[in-house]
Amino acid sequence: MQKILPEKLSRSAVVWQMLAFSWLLLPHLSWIPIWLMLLSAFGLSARWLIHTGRIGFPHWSVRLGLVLIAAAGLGFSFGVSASLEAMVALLIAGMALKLFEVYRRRDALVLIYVGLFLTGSGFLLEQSLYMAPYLLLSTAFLIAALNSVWMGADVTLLKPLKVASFMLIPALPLMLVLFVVFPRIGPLWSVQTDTPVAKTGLTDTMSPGDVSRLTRSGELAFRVIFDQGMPPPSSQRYWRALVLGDFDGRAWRQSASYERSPEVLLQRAQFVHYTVIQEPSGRPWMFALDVPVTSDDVRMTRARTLVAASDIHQRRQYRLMSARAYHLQPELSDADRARYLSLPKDSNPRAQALAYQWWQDVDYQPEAFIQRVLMEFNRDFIYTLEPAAVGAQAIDDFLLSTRQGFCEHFAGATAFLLRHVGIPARVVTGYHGGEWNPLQNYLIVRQYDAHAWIEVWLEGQGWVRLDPTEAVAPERILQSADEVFSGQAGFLADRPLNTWVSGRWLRQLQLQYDALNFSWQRWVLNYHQQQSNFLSQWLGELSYQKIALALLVPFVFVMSVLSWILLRARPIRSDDPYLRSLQRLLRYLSRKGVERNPEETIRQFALRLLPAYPELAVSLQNLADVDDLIRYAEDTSPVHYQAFNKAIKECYRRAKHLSV
Amino acid sequence: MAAMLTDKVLTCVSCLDEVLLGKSHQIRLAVTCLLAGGHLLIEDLPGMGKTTLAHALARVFGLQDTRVQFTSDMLPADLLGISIFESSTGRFVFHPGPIFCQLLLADEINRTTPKTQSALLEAMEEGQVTLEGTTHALPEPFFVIATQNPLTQFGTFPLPESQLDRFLMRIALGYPDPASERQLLMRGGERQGGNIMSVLTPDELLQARSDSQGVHVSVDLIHYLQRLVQFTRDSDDFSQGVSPRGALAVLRCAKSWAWLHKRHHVVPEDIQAVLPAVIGHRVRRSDDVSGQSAEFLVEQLLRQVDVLSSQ
Repeated sequence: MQKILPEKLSRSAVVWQMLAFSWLLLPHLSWIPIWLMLLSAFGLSARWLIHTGRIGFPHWSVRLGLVLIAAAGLGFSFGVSASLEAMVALLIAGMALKLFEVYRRRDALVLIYVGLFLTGSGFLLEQSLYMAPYLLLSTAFLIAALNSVWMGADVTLLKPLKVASFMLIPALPLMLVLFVVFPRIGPLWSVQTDTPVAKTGLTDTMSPGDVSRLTRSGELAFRVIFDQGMPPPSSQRYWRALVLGDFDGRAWRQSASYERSPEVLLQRAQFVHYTVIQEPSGRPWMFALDVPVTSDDVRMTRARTLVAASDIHQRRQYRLMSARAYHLQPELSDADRARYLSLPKDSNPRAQALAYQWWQDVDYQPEAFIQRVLMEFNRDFIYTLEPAAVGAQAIDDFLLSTRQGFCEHFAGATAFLLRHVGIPARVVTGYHGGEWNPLQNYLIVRQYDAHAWIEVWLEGQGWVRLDPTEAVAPERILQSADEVFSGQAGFLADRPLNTWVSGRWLRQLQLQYDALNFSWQRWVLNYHQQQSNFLSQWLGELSYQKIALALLVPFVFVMSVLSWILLRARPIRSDDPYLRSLQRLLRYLSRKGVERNPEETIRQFALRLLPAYPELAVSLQNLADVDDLIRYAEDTSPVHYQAFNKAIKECYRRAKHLSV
Repeated sequence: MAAMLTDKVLTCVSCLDEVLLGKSHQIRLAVTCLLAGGHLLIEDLPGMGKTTLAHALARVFGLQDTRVQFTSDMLPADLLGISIFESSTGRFVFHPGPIFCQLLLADEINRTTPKTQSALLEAMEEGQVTLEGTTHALPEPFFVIATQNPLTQFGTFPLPESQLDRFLMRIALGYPDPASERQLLMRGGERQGGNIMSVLTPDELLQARSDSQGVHVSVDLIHYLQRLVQFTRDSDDFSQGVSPRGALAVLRCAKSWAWLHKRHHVVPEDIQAVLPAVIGHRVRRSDDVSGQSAEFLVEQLLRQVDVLSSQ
């Protein structure tokens, strides 16, 4: 077997190994256990000290001890579960341990190959816009490390990286081709992520304070693209998530329904087609513009809300169609009527009395009753993010003593009042409004856009949307949430920097950043959902042969270009500046259509040109004389060099007039 | 002084031009060969003026010349000389052969047997003749101008490569151009060699030889020459590349050529001018056994190696 030489790795190789490892480690520092950080730092310093000869390679017992420590640490930090984090931590620990024993080239190669695995696993944990260039850079560093292992001992520090970039540049188009064309195969094994995305957003119950708590967060909930380009006006942007039909005296809950088919939707009009790209929420609810007509592949509940088959842990994209004018469930069955009228017997007695009094005042007219309630809200109530606390009889307290609340207070109280006088009503939660990003024409809906309203069933009209918030704070419905709340205590209280960007250009910057991020998510991260569509638009009917061809042809192309570049005889750059400027002139002339044959000296070239281009030929002749003196004569004085430059300039001047 | 010498040599050249019409390049090459101190092989069909050129060269450079017609029954002794027993003194006395001269014209060298050929070639290389244990020095300068018919002619013994290598240059004369031929015919075929005056003394020739080897050669030129030589070794067209001795021969001739053109340094044109004559008989195309295509091959070589390159 041939022995691989040289076994002593260059300083450059060591530096690149260390740099690549540190670079790979950096994004994981936020979550890896402290012992692993220490082990890595220890490994890095050991690598350097061993290389510089200050310490020797550790004895096997020391290495065994380190392995045991790492194993114990992994067991202690991650238990026995084979979670994603545990796997990545195992890779990091492996690399850190390998740093202690890079004796030979083979060991360095193991280190680098594990590094490539670690690079790939970086995407398992985060797929943000920054991560891609970051990991691309780490690939470059690893390849630089690989290069430096194979380069001689006297290689400079930057040379391996330079070579690596030259290698990566032709790989980029191939990467794009693979990304676009390569078929997405389902995972061969499933990776268990045992730290699911924290549950955020709306819950399936609503009690006072639940929705206003969401306004403390500026986190993204979902984004929407409308087929028509522009969104419906702000007053109609109600994003339906949950319908809460059961009331227990304090909280509203989703009611269990045995009927599978959605409620009947009649006289639908003003359809809106759109695509929702929802952030992971850890919950199954999905969002549709009030009220969804069809959905491609999502289950619709009886109350026309959308529910995913399981909790949403990954960003999800779905297409929907909604009707903005409709009649929902014009006929209410007795069971439904009973459900949407039911109230706990003895809850909120004072509110009940109040409702009955108003009901009498309006002469038992449902529409008039609703008007009365809204009028009361408008006159005596305050809409605030931080309402005073309410007791066990929440609606009593809200209606008769505190008289201040957020949308869930108003929605809950209104539904309660309506039910009490025999009008079927239910609470709907979701989001309202959203911020329009004109840069890429999409709507951004954040957690602080969370909202609650009610639906009331009226004879002949079916379920009608009623937003009590509109009565008390019409600006909340007409403007976006951040415009209304900015400056109020409690708004966005959970943001690390408790200041919302207010400056105009900062705002613009934020929109731009979001647009960029959105494009990234839509076109890169979510590409697998659009791949077959995209490819069939491009290639026509898809077949394995076509996909194979689409993969193969660019590869063959790039490879042929590469081999052409590598194999063609390249004029070697001269160290002689005079020869270089001479060659430059000759290239210029050949672009002008006069080409020197390789065997021709300048003088012979000039002689050949004499009949056709006498002026240029004379200048070239002068150049040839000086060039002879510089290049071939025994003594050359500085005068000759000046004359040479002059002669070159003269040739350019003459050649300028040549027609191409 | 040096310039005067050059002028004298150029006078020789113009004298030769008078003798051999329309062959000025070949004449200059032949003179260059003499200046470089090498032996010359003239190869052409019969009647092209080979012998005329050789004769005229001897005359014009004031060299004592001998002409030997090589035949197939010729023995080395016929060329080198022989020791004969003299009864009066009772000793063997060496009688020098025709090779003891300053310029030996070996006519039709490929007609004789390899044995005689190698006897001559040894003398060419060593500048001396060894017979029966006694070494006899040849006069200074000693030139051999050999002529030969192309190998395709009947009844010839081709010179092996190692012996071809002893010749500094091989030139072919070729048919004269129409104008020169008309002039030649008008003269009525009367030989011009008879009335040539010698212009140079042998000593002056030796001086010119040493002067011409003092011409400056720059690094760039060495690079060009080395690229040319390297090309013959790397290219698949050549069955064998030029040897270092061949490269040195090119350099010597290029220096003489430059000197003859009154230059103080060698330029690439000098190398290009002498290259076909100097390496033409030292290279051979891979697919050619007879070695007839060499001139063409060398032209190709010149075309493929860039003069202005850095390596």
